[in-house]
Amino acid sequence: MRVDLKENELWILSFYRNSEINGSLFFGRMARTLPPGPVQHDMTRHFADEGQHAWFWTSCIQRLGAEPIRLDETYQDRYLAAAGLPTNIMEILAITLTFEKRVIGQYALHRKMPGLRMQVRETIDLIMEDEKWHIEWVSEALERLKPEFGADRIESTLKRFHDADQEVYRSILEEHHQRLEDLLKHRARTRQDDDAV
Amino acid sequence: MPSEFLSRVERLLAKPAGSLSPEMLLEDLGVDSFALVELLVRLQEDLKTRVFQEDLAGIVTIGELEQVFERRTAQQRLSS
Repeated sequence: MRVDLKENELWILSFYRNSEINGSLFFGRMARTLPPGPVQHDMTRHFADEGQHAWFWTSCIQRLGAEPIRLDETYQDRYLAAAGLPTNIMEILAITLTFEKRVIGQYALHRKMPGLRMQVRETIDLIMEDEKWHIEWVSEALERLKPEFGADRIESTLKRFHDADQEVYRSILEEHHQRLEDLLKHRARTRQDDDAV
Repeated sequence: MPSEFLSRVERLLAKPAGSLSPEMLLEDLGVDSFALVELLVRLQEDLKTRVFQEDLAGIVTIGELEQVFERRTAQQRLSS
């Protein structure tokens, strides 16, 4: 089935695809670098998941009768520029956890949009199953690192990355306001509904 | 004569021996940010020490990076 994908829809689906590709490249390089152990094991699976998610989005866009747009910048580029490079395994996991929470929130918001295309909904549902595990394994790995790094240091690192993420997300919403218009309207409506409860 | 640290960085980045100097800027290493993270992780594994994001604030040369590792290694040796 071929449908007309609006330019803004194509842009956002391409943005998701691009972010998944970049995530996969990052985790692949970390999986290659880390010493053998549980983190290397889970990081390798995470790397494979992100690569598959990029494929899901590629396939979704093509099923909608379009081709992905090549985008030069990803969310991760902005994020690393704002948060700074992670330097050790704890910081890598902390930045990953922050990013994965953002991804889940974004996909959940998109999933609830009225009139969502079936192909997009199916793709988000497929990805969300993996995302839950991503949060789980990274949280558990950080928990195991508490004796070495200290709970306080891990908490402050998470807060620093969370603050950077908030800033980057806000700047992307501002910059791409027109492209994300439908999503932003939906977000505002959701917030109003939440406030009314 | 290049330090052991410089030689290690050269090996990890597959650079020719003697091609790096302490004054060289990190941004002139010709590696992207992911490769820099990989380098830092490998150095910590090899040298059995930990460095943190705040340690790298204002660090622009390889020599300064070496000093960070030396300082952290000394601190962690004292506290263990």
